Amino acid sequence: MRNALPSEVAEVQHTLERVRNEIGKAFVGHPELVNELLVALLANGHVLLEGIPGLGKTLLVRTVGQVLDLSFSRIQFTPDLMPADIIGTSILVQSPNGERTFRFQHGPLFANIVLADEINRASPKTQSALLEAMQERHVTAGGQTYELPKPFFVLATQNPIEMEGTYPLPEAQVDRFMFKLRIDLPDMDDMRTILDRTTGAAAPEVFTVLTASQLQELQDLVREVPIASHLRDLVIQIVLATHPGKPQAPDVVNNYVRLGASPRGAQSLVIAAKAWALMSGRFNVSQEDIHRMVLPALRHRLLLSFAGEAEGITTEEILTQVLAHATTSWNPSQG
Amino acid sequence: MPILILDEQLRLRIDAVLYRLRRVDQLTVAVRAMVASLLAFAPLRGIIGLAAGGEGGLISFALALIVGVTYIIVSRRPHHTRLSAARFIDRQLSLEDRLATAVERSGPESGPGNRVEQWLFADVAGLTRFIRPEELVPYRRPREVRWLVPLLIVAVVLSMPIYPKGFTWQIGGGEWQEIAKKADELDALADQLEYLAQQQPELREVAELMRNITEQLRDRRLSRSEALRLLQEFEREMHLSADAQGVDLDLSYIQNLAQRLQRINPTDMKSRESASQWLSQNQRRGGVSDRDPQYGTATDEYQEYTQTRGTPIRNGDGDSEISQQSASGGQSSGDRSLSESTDLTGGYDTDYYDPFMDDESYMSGSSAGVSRGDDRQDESFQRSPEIIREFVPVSGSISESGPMITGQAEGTMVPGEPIRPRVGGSTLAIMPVGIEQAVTQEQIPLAYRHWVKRYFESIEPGQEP
Repeated sequence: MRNALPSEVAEVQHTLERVRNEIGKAFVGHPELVNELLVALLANGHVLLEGIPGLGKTLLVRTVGQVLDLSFSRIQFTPDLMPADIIGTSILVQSPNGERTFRFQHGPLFANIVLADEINRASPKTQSALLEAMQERHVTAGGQTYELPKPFFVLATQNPIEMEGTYPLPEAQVDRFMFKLRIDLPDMDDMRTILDRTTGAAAPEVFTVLTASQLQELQDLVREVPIASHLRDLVIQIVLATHPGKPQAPDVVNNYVRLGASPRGAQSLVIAAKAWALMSGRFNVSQEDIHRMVLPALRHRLLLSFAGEAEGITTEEILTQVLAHATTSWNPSQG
Repeated sequence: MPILILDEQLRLRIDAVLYRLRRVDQLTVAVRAMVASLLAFAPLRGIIGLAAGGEGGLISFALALIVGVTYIIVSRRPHHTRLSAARFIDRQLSLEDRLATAVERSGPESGPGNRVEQWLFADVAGLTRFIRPEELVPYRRPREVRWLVPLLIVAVVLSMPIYPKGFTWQIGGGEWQEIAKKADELDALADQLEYLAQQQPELREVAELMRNITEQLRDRRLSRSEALRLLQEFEREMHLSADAQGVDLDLSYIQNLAQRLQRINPTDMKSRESASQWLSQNQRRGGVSDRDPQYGTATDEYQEYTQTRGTPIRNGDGDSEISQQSASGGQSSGDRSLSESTDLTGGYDTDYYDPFMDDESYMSGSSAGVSRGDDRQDESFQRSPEIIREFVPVSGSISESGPMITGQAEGTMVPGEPIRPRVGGSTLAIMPVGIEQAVTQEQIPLAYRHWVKRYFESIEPGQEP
């Protein structure tokens, strides 16, 4: 029950389809993961990728950079990495006439797509240097503020298994990531394809299909997607339900959660739902869009209590119950 | 950017759905309220009916009604709006909240629309043909309707007189016992009448009437309140049937009582008819005929009949005068104004307050309320059931020979002549009335009152035991 899409939307869908195809040439499988990554790009949000080593996290991010024709830089986070190593530093420059001045040397953060590889290996000091860049999209060095290029994405990866010598990300920084995506092991068919593609003589060639300006236009379009008030209320209901002690919270939250999602989480959920709706060829947010985006947008914003950690319960399990509870208690016919 | 306006046809369809949603909701609430009322009525009627011996039907109905009204008030009915109707359509047709979003964004109050919203409005306008109100909201009977008929049957059954009566654990059980006791007394009185009927066969009909009342009191077909009312009326009529000399089983009293009994015995038409026949026979013989209200005094035939039975008929001078005055157009008020009391102490006189005293037909006879002893037939046959006999204090004193009223003056006044007091009329009535009052206060069974009164009457002043 759908009318013909306007040409602009059809073109958007066509472009996104080409992006997916190009990424698929290098990164095999995980179509949902690719879609969620594109949603984050359309919503202008940062992404934290989590998975065991060797699953192609870095490959995925690099491929996205190639497809989108955006400047790309990679920062390998290590314990001895300093903030100036990523932001940049002022260096003393002597002019031909012998005049010496300080000039800011841009660090690797000045790129459209920044791959922060194994972000949890850097010290908290270096990690916090990313805070301003991620939220304000500018950096300050030597009393000067420098704007970061637009669009600006931080795609960070972290290894959840190898915890030796790592520094878990502070809550404030985790909250600045719009999505936290998990990469699982590919299935049998995907593994077979991966082996065929990567062990042969020819490496797959990836083309650019979307420029920075086109991406920015899409980002503007996403923000124009309307959301009905009852769905907005549903988002609020879901976010409040993640906080223990709130009347909306189910028992599982009261028992296993220490801290729930912030209002920034609600913002991320709404904007992600809008992007997902547009990617699906719709001009409004639906309840299904919100349901679909709850896990990637909120899973890293819940802090488990000791009981939750001890029970080995995951935030995904909690969010699934929160979603069911919030949807049940939410009555769209009111108001 | 333009203001977004919803497509007119689409808006009409949504409004049609809204209208039907409201109607269905109202119907559902109404049916549920009825079911709730009936559900409440059944146990209430059962419990109250058992506890009150079948009474309390009105209370049960009122309580059930309150339950139904309360349900309507407290039931959380959704407030249907165009937006809620749009959400309903979205859910029914799986429109992924498109219609609701468009409805919410439509209108000038929502401000100008952007590109995506314009696309949305163009998209939903194409959905009009899929929105069919009669299919989306069909008028179906609410599911609760199936409970209405069984509950109605239960309610009707429980409303029938199926409840046992007269148990001590029931509300008013003591009153039932009292009623049974009174019925026994009435039965004894009927026995006496039947005994007297050996000499006076006409009394048998009265006895039958009394038996009928007794049966009604005993078999508990009547409700408690009806039985009490019947008993109360019987006693009232019995006293009202009495003249100034109190309850006396003479013929005039029994005639009077018979007429009253057939009036308070509405369930037995046969008895009523027989009583009427009996009365008409007696009226032809000696009573006052309804067709001849002019005559308040007894006819010669009746006087002859009553004298044969030895019933004292006092026809004093004052009475004759009153009759003359009444015949000449005198009114009761004038007569009553002649009743005067001097300042004495003790003793009670009886006086009748009759709202029909101004009735011309009633007043046309000699029943002016003065000569009570002589015109009692007239009073008894024409007095309406609203008559209330009052005891009013009169002057008097208690002498050594018993309670005696002195200085009591009653009389008549003929225009142009001095007042002619009728000495002794009310004074003589004091003694029997006092006896009757004592008999009533001491709660002497009806069957024995007559004999107790006789006993007291037989005591001469100064010869008290």
